[in-house]
Amino acid sequence: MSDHAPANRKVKTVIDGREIEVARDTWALDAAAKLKIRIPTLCHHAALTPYGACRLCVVEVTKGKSTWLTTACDLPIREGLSICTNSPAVLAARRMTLELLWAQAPASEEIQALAREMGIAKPRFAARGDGENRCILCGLCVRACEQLGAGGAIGFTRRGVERTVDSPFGGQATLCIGCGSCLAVCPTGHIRGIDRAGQRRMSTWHTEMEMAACESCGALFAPLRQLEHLRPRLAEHIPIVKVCPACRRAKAAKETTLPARPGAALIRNTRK
Amino acid sequence: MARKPRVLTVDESRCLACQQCMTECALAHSDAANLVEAMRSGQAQPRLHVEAVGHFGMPIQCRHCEDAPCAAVCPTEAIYRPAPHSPVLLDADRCIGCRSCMYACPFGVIDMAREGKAVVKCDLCIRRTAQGEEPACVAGCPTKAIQFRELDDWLAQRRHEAAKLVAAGNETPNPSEKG
Repeated sequence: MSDHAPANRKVKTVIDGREIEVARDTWALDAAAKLKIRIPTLCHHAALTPYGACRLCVVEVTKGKSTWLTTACDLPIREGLSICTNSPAVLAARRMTLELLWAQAPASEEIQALAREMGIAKPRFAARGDGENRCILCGLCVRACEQLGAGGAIGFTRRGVERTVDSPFGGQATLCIGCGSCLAVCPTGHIRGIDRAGQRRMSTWHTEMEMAACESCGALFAPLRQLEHLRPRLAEHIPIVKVCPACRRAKAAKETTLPARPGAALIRNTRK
Repeated sequence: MARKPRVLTVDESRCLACQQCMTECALAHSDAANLVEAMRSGQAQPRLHVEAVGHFGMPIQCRHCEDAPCAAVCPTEAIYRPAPHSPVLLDADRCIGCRSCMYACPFGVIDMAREGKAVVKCDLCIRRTAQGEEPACVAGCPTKAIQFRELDDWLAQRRHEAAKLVAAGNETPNPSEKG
């Protein structure tokens, strides 16, 4: 690593009147977090590429004589930027954004909770569709799936008001390994998955797959496809363990406790 | 000043299987001030497990493997080792909840967090040890079955005990054992 890389250069910025020095190109959202300034966001994840989708992290940026509103999650900090996270313009824009998100995903409890937190008692705009939607098209699931390195099982489809996230052609997602990351990162409770009858069902993606049974206790503990996905990622001498985590703990406990003859464990080969 | 590497050791003959280590661990890794509060918040979750072995118990926790499989499979570098002798740590903010580490861990000591957004694992209580305290499981163990010891000291003790056994003719070292 070179010390001369521009990314290592420190720049000063002012957030809500407080000065902070961060590495150049730090995202404004992360810089604010360092000052313990909380900016609401739904589509941001520390490990995923910023996408600026939900627009809730809107802030007011001033540089020289110009001032503009933009999203903090994908705003790289440069020299001379001054950021305000709670000006009247910011709060008005954020409030409007949330009201629109509420109309887009009226069934999402997370959105409703955020609205209450912002003091919005009831939705202003008519709910879209049948009122059952929970997806705000933030793309966290799509980004997490890509990050996983299994090929990207899901993606955006259709355009404009018909845009959704789905498996290819709305059929079985053949690249899905059933890991459930999409479900874990979804901020609005849209994605559904369940294990039933020996199968993992990612119902939102119309996808079902077989689960691996623990060779010791028989519990269905992991999707077979995910175990196959992990194989090349592990060093050759590390086997893919075919027993469930609980049985691994039991095995480890049994192997490391003293046998009947005190002291024998001290020089017993426990690797086998 | 580099601190000497230290490891958790378990003297299983002293373990009462009282699970106090699990309780202390859960509390130490919550933001709550006491256990009742931690339980109410729903975030109390131990990073180690006391496993039954016959009539006895044995606490099992992260080994902080040198060549950690959990870190190798993590797609977001959420599990990492910041320095050569440091514990294997988890940055929960970077975890996308894919559970790969849970399936890769040979000891089954990584769990999904209750809220299902990220995993949880033992961090050898780095925040406590940085302040000179012992890990929570060690501090809470009523019989001192779990100890936090300098690796060199512990290895020296094991060598000494093994040598005594060999000298007494009770056991010969296993030739297939290396290192």
